[in-house]
Amino acid sequence: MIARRLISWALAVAACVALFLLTSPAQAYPWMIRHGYTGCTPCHTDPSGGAGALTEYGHAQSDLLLRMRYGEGEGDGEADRTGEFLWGLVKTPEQLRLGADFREAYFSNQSEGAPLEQELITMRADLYGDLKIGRFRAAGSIGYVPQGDLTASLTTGADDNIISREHWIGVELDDEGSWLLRGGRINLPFGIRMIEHTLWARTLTRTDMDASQQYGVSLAVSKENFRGELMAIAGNFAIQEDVFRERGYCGYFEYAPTTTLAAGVSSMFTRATRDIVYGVTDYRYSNGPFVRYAPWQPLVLLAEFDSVYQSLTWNGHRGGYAGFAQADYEPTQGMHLMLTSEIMNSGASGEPASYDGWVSAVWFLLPHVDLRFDGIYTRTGIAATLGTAASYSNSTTWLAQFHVWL
Amino acid sequence: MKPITACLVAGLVALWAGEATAHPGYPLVVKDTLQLTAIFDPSGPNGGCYLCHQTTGGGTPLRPFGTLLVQQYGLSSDPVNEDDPSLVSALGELQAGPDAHLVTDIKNGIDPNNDPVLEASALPTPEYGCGVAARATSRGPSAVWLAAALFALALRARRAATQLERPVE
Repeated sequence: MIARRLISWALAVAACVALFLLTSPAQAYPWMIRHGYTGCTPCHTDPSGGAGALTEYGHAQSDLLLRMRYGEGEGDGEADRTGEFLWGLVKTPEQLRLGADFREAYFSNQSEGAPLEQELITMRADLYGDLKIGRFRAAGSIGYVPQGDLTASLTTGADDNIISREHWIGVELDDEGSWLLRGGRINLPFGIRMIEHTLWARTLTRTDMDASQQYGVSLAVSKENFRGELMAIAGNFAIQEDVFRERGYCGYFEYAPTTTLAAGVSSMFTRATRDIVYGVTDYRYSNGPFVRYAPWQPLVLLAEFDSVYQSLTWNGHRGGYAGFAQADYEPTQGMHLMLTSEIMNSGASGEPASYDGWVSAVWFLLPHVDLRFDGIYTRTGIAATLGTAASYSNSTTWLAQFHVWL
Repeated sequence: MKPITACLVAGLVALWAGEATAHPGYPLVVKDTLQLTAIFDPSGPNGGCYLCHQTTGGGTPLRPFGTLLVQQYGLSSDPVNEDDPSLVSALGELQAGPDAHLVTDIKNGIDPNNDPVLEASALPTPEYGCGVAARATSRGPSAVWLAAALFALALRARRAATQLERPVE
């Protein structure tokens, strides 16, 4: 009875949300390895996971393995219909997988010597779909952002833009769909796909799922105990002029010797005539290992470390690095307690390493609904300048997020 | 050691120097060459790097004035090694050329990077969105062609699969 009322409440909230902003999800949960899922394709339409629509099986698992069950158990092992797209209210053809994602956050940041910063941020408001006819595939997303994400923008405003984070077409090369050749705007296949897109391993390598996608052609493989993707990057065509576009390659390979352990390596090289940050010719190399391990079902350990080397014409070379380790503890299904630690050095001359620590909790309270809280303490290294020694700047950030996905 | 070997070794050392490097002597060269009374730094008494670099510490991307000296007046683009003669030469040509007013700006304590003429000739800035794509010149591979090629491949694969599935009569 209570669950039914909660579901009714969630439906009402979601309907209101949908009236204002029809949305799309980034549901990159690499800790699903605790359930023996080393690969992504059983649940995600994107072969490297994280992006795009969920498969029918993925929707079912979100009901059986993701949300809090409130003592219901798994019953007969059949997923509840509310786990389906739009809580099962709309039945889509088998060939069409649809989804939506809305994530709103309250953000508060207090940096040393700076005024308190507080704001509400619409992090995601996307719709997405994936069409599969025979071996032919087509997928894409469209959304709205009040601010930021310009590198995924379809419109040209400084704010309030329509964006498309990804859109691609492809062809499955075998009957099982384990090989996919696709082209278009694609999430860069690099490292662990985390929804924490501000992790330094994602920002320094420019491989987050927020707006760092690039156009190109990729070949992805997903087998029982290994997966990988290699992409030829043709540039981001949402950025004008052509001199700012990065071209090169990006890829990863991950091997899973057991169903609860997977380790991989990533590599990327790009060149831009004018780097979008530094304005000069830039050759970027990023390489690094990553690992996912569930020593005990409630506990998953994730770690990644990447070296980043940049050759900036006229502005020197810089060798930096970024890495993180995360422990995800799920004391009861649907409640995740996480500790995350990061280290980073961008490679600027005389820059000391930066550190941070996250304490996070995620509660998957209802089908398609979760709440997330983060507390982040950051110690940022500041490079020495002439007459000024290297120093640190400390800041504390609090985040509270409301997330609905369909 | 043969000269070519020495050059290779020097090049490798320079390439793998790792950290961004600066040219700490350049501000003094600017002061002496332009006969300024003190090192000029538009950001204040921070050493002079900000005249050409985007931060007061130098070693970062160039500001428009620095880019102009490199691109138009022959300042060495070597990020590792300081090349004072090339800076002296670049400043000399700057004073004698059409952009001499920038030197006047510096002598008057004005940041030449804010000069509208310099801003107009500065590095291009990125624009975003599909709406600007039509007026931008793209020399890169077209996404449309890419999509068309993949679509053709998909159709061909589907046709082949259909033929395989057709029952034998």
